[in-house]
Amino acid sequence: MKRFILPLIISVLSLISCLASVKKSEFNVPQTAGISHYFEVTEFTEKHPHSVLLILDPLFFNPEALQPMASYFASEGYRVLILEVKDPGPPVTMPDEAQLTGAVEMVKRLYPGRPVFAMGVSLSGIAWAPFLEQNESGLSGIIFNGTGFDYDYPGSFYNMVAGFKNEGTSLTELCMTPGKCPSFVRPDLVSAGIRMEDLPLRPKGLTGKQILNYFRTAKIPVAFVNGKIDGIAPEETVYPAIRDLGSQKTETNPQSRNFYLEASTANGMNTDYDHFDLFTSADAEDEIYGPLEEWMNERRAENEN
Amino acid sequence: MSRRFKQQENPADPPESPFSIPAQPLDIPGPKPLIFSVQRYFCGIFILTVFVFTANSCMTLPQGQETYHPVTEDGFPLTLERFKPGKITKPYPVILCHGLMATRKYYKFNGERSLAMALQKEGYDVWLLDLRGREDAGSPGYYFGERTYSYNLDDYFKKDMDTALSTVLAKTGKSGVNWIGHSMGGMVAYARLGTMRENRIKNLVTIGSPFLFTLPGENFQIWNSGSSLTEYLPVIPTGCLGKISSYSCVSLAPNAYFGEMLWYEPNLPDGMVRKAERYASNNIATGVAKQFSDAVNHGGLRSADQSVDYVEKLGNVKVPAMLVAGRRDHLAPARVVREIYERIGSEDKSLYIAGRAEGSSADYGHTDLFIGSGSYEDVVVPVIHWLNQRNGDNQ
Repeated sequence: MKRFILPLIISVLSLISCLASVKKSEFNVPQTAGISHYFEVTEFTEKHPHSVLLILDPLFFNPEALQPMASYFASEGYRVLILEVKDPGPPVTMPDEAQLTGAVEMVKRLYPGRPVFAMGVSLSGIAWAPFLEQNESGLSGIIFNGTGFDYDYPGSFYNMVAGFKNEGTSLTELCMTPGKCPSFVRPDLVSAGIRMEDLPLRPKGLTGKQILNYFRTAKIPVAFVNGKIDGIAPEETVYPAIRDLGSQKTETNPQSRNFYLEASTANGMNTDYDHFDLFTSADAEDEIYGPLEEWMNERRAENEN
Repeated sequence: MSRRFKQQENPADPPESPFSIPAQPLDIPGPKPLIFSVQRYFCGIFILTVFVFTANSCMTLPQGQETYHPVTEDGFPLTLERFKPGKITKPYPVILCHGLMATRKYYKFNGERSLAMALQKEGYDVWLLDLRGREDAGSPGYYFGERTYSYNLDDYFKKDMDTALSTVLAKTGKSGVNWIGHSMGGMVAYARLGTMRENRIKNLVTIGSPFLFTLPGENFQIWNSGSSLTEYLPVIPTGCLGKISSYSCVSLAPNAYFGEMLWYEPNLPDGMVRKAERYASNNIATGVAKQFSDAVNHGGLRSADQSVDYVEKLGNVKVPAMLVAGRRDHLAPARVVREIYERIGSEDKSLYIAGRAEGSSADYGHTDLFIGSGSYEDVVVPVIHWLNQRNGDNQ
């Protein structure tokens, strides 16, 4: 009899586990609808979401890649809205402040009383920067996930790509040719439909070192995530914003509302993350999304108090 | 009464003869005595250890034509090893300075593909420097002796650098040098150039040199917490620990990724980690460890008495400078190297990041920047190219 107990327990646990994942996916069926002339929204939600998380189209790659991340936050009680640009170009142009303001206001009308967080993903994340100094926008926090800011130095990614463009080669062509692609994008991701015709053009005021002004005068809590070996939004383009923002939450400064997470083995993670690992790695759920959720929950608790 | 006497008393025992043939054991299978197996096992291990030790001791590194041991003003001997090319074609010699727990041997590990040999081949008069406290010039005593580990990082850049520069200029008859420093070897140059109006350094290359310590990762903080040992120990025995780790093949790191602070092993040639631990690791003086610890806590390097913030003096660094960072470097992250790049006052300055996105064959860690399998193509060649442009090629 005893020898049947362990297999029985394992079977029961497996069954429970399967049922749990079925339930989760049932609630996470994405719903897509237009929110304005500019954006189309894909929504991920569970029964009783306590907050809203607005994720902006990365533009640099297809937003479908964000589905695992969106599902995670939905399962943790967030109504996740991915704002997809209806006509991404070319030329691929980031949304400006007015377009994003319209989207935020509409979301606040649709879900009154809920804390709203904004997340910028990849290069287009900087489009959220103007909101940093706007308390009246009603955002409870902004997350920059794999977003570089200050590319104003020789040899930076933007300057390098400009060099390719001058040679008349699109990034897609370059990266589909074996041995020609600089290794900032893995070949499997290129063939998976990453938009590589061009880099997103930045709105006026968000180029060069101008963007750092928003961090110097920020009033809204900020979280940064960057991958240690990310060559698209490398740490040296993220750090100037962190520096100019000022205090970060650390062991010695637990009161700070700002949070920086470098995804690397130096912080106990399983690997040094590259750009796409931040959204596609199997470990990201524990190592990236979990800490971000914790940070958002802290901000939410602050608002309630 | 002895046993032999007893045997003689026993008529059943035949008398022993020097010519007698030892009794042969009967051919009956049975368990071998355990003690015999254990002896053979340990004997085998001993022979193997001696063999490995001997084989490793025979490792040969390129040797310079001349070696000097100049003595600093406070009595510490240094080592300067000279690699003179067949014909010196460059106006300034090169001094290569090692990092915190390292020695000059690092610069020779890759043989002909190492930075030192490549510079020599290019026509540079190359000098490898061991700062004080390295065993080739006589290790200090722990507690007693003429010299102990009683120095700090300020001594490196105020006294050791001065002695090294004076010696090289005296021996070569030149008016200046190119300084190349890895990690701390670059930091001491920033500190000296920033605070001492040093005009004998004509060009500066720093490779993986932090000076700021902003946003340190968890492993960095573990590493830094080790500085509390300075209260109890006369020295941080990193040299001894490196050798123990190398010979025992047991990692002494507190977690799986701790070693990645120093190097990213997949980027290194086979056996390089053991070689580095065994031949080029060095103890850290408590004063130096304390100063580093303060730098990590403060966010940047300060004088030992904390009265001078060296980071604020970076604007005084005016010489042409090339700053090299490894994309995967956890000790001198690219974000820190770029920040130094922005702060130094040099008009002629270059930032070079060795990473796959930037066209290198790998994302480089801290030490693999110059002992990595591909570091010759990815780092050594660009560094020499940069130096050549400032040593006559374009003049």
